[in-house]
Amino acid sequence: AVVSTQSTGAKGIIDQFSTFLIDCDGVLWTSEKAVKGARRALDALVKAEKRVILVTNNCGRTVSSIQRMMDEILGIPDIPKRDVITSGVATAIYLKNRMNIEKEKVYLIAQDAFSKTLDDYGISHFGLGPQPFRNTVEWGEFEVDPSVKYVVVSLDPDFNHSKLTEAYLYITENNAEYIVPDVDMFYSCKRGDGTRKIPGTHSVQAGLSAMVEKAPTPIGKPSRFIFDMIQEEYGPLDGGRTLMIGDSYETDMKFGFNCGIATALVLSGNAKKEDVEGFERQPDFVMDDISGILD
Amino acid sequence: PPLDTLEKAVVSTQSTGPEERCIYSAGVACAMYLKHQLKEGEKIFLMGSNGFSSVLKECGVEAVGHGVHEPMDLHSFSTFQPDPTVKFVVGGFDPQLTHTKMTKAFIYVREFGAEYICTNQDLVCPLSSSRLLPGTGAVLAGLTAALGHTGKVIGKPSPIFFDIVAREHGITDKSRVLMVGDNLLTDIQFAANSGIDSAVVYTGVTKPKDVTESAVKPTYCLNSVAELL
Repeated sequence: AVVSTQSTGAKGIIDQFSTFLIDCDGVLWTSEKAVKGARRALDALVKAEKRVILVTNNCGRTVSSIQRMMDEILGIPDIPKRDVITSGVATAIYLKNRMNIEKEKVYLIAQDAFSKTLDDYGISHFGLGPQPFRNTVEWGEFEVDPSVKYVVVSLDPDFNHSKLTEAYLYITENNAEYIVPDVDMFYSCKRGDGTRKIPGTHSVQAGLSAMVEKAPTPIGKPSRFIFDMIQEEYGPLDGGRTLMIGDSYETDMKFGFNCGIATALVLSGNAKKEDVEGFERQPDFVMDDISGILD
Repeated sequence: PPLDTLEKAVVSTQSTGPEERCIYSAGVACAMYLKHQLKEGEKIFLMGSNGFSSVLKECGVEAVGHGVHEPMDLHSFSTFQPDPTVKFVVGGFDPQLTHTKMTKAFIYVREFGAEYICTNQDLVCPLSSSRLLPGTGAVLAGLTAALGHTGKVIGKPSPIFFDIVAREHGITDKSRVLMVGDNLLTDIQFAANSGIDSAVVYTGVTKPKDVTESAVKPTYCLNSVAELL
């Protein structure tokens, strides 16, 4: 059901737009289970031949695993690779367009899926996995490899002092570019009937960001980089007929505002009904779940 | 560092050994603070070095969580069950603090109401004139960001550290106390926060021009501790 809308049009929401940018967690699925109404909404979008592009900050999944989830959980077997954009993919494309692939390397703080994504684009990287503590003598002798020109920092369960220090040294001694694929403050995992809030990617970046002087390069939502990148790589979108659907005000809605496109907030994930009136800017639509676009 | 290391360093510079405790690291101060706060059977969740862990043991504070944690992906946290006897989360310089370990600390504080204290929040510690290393503040920054606060800082520049030491030694006349240190942000700020006089020495990180540019001013400026005589 649509909870509130800024629109005065009589048309159903689905008829007003040609392109739908859709967040995944909390909108289509939560912890690998379909969100109520998601299957219905996607079927309708496919039937109406709308362009559907998944835009997720979650770089813990590869594109192929998301394609598989679309098939197994939501019955959509053939979403093309180019219409599945994770912050990992967006980072890989950012790097591919800028780095000297032969000579330059990336220091990567992330999970396995991110590593695989960079491999797909032929980007040379290292740093994945646990890293033992180095003492002050070892740090004094540590040689900074001058070919490391990029430092990518995302969620990493193994992130520790050693990785923090190594990243810091590449940024300060090599003037390496510091890239943040996503800056989510919290993630939610299921806990009984409800959810448990746990520290997100921002907590991995906090110490490093405080120590270096220059601001990092943002890739994921709410930065409009992904919106511009999709058009540069795959062709223009009709901004006036594009709708961003997501469950987070800070990432999804602000992304929509930054891109100058329409916005729809669903209440099936992060955002709760009580949060809505406190927003500094109201999304165009607020709905219980994504099936609200059929109203 | 562990207490016995500190004590050996002090004993080697003087002719007689210390009779009462006269060496306080921020870790020792935390241990003493906790001793007065914890009830029988209550424990802490520790993010700290092996040195900190042994200091806590010596003071009879029981800790869980110390050391290396198996990495957990986000969804494994659905089933994480904290130890219900944990009443404090304690943060120090932890070479083994990973995002996984830090998430457990967050859950103890946010969901289970454990009180969060830390030894200090120093962002960096200089390795050499050109290379800086992350300090405790940088290591704990993720937890600070997630909680929205640093927790109660026990070490310098917090006056809590002074209260602990003053109580142990029966110090009541603050006008007769002098803090001597090389760091304006920790040592001299600590003196200012505690209401005592301070002397900065130029044998460490601070040089005269830093004092000129600093908002906090020491009572005295010395080239070295030898000038106390």
